[in-house]
Amino acid sequence: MIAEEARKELKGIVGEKGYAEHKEALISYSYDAYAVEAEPELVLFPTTTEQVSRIMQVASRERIPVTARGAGTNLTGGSVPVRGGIVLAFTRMNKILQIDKENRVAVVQPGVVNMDFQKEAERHNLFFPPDPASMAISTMGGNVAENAGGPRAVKYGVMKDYLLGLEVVLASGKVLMTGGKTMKNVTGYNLTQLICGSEGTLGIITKIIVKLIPLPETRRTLQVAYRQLEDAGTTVSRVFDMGILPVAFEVLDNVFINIIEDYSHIGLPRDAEALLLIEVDGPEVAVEAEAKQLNELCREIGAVDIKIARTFEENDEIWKARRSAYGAEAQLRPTAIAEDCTVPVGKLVQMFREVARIAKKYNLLIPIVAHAGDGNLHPQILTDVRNKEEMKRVEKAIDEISAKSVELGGTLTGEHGIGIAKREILGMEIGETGIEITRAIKKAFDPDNILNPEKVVKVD
Amino acid sequence: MISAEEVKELSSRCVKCGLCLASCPVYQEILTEEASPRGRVQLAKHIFHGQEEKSSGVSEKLAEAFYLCTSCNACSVSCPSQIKPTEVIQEGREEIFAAGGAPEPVKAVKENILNTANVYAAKKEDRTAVYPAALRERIGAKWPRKADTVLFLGCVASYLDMKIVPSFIKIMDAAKVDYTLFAEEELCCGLPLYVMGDKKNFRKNAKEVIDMIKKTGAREIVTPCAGCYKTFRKYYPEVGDMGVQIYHSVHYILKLIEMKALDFDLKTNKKVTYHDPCDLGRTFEIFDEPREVLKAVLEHEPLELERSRLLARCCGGGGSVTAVGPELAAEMAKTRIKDAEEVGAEVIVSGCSTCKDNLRKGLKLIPKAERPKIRVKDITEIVAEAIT
Repeated sequence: MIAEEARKELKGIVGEKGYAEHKEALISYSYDAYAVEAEPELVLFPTTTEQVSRIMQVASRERIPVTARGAGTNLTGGSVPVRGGIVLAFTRMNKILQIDKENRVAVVQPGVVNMDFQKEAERHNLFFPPDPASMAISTMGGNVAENAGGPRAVKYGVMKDYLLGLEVVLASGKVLMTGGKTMKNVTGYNLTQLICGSEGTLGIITKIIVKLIPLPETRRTLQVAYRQLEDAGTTVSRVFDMGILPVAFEVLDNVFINIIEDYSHIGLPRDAEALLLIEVDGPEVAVEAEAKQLNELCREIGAVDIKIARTFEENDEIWKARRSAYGAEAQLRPTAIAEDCTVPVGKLVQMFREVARIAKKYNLLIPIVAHAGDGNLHPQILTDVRNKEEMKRVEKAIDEISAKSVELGGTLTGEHGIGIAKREILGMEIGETGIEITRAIKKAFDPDNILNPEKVVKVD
Repeated sequence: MISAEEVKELSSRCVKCGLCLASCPVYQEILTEEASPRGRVQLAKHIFHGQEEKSSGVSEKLAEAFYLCTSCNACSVSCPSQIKPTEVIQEGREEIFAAGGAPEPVKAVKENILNTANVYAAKKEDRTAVYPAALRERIGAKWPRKADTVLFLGCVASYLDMKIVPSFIKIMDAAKVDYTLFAEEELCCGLPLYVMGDKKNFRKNAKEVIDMIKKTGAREIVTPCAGCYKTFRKYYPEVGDMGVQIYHSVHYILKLIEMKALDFDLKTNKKVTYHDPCDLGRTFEIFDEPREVLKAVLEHEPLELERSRLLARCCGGGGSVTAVGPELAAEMAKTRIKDAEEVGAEVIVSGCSTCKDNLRKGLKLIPKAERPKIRVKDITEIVAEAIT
């Protein structure tokens, strides 16, 4: 329980407009895009680093749990305040502070929406590639905290690959500056990258420095349908062999093809076993040539249907449909749990088959979308949280999928994070030593365990 | 409309992906979860359909969350789970209204409509103040007379705007349409009652309007108001059959153009963009007709706003927001004006009197020194200006 005095003090810091404790606000900040919900006791909307620092001083003195949150699109419960306390909502701390064209870097506040930032960068003929499916609404702070990635990771990498520096408020309220505006920086430990992906458990991100790259001249997407999944796998390895590095390389299974087609009516081939989306970018001449080569390759492998987007609008249409996948599946079952296992690229098809086997074993509906180019699968477990018996089977299936992924040399999560969803199986991948060192780091940053407690690793 | 049971089912199916937040004009201004479609759906799930105890009476904050929604329907269009947040929110307002929890300004609007037959508590004699003098003279005691076509002008165009009615009449006269209208006796279509969740009074009012229209013996009704049009086409069928063909002015003007009943000698060479009103665009997918009309009176192709057609950004004038949060409504309009500035438009045209009114407020919100030189017009105006 947060004491009345502390509430007054906190209200004094953020002002009337930045403070909410009424029931409706608490319900509204009890969830993200994961299935678990828990209400905070207070919601604060800071707009400056100083406010965040003062809030943390109060929180650390009073031992109040603090969960930072952007747009709440997290898929593993990272922004759910499972121990109550304070939710720090960063949506109003949303200024792009600087786009430094000369140095190709930008400085932004955590509440800036990813897509808004991309658009602003494009106005300067610069490119910020990280593109989580939630990018139309998810925030830069959340993207850093989760080390978010997206389809473009194949060629361009993920959030961490663009992150140069951070301003972070520690549990104590002290302000830490990490990194800076240079591409190279080996001064001391790489604290920037330690905070990146720490899911709000080590510090509160209040400023972000990222690098930008030149905006490619054009891009083109091929949509390729195969009768057999194996053909999609073959395509992935052959494309890299040809020396082409696509921006994105997505594969959807048959169930997903149909779910997305039901929602977006863009004419996807409903009977294909796999649908590949391959995007290439660069100078017009190169893109045209690569698209032609890819077209020939896919035909040779046995594609039953190939479409090449001719305009940006057509391109966007295909990608919009892909990004809607998570929500669209809700038409089949009320609960969707987005799995995120990732395997070495060469094991992709094998992992697809393993997931299908596990789905059959536990009698569950688990369609798959995957970032095929980087081995990141998103088996979507479609279920109903209200069905206790089925949820037991779901848990078993998730454990088995995770174990298989690690066994194949992969990871528990490629881009969604551990959150509360995978905390219990963290050791499966990082082992006892890994957990020990993770706890030690957590303790060094947050001795009282007030920063997003219960997430990533259990410490008490 | 959908049942409470269906709403319960829909809200339980929301996976909370958050994609609707990007489309919500209110969320984009306020930036709190409560002011978002996802937030409202979750509130509906917990408070109306969940385990949360319904406390005695509805809290002010709950009412605010549900009434600060423009009903623009952008969330429903962008929802991959097809939860239809707009319907869930509408049902929530009905619950709140029934419990007596609607915000005071909303209740005042209700009283105005019931007592004065318009939203603004204006005198009924003033409804015709904006009519062209010639028309006022023509209207005798026997109006509404019998005619094939009945014009329904709407409260916003009649009371708040100087140009829409004269322009609309000019077009009708130029095309020699034989029309009648209700003049001082015109009623509110009742859309505000519907949106606020007062189903009972909405039905009562709708019946009166339907009777009135039937008495004219007209076979078609034309309105320049997107709100009236939506109400007639989408909500009146729940109450009764109007027995007439329903046209919005854009449809009717396009029909007149195709019949070659209008000559345009004064085409404009201004850079014009079209703002899709939610009540025409997302509701009925009326996207091409207004653009066709514009092409007929413009020398250049109309410019497209970045968010147009199905994903058009709401101007903020819809729902009960202008009553509950007028500053917020104007802020949203300002954002839309900025969209027009971005594409270099000199004129932003809409097919909705409320959009026009609100967009003008948004424009005025921008400090004079930074204010773009953009004129806000209704589509009837730009058409009428092209006629000598």
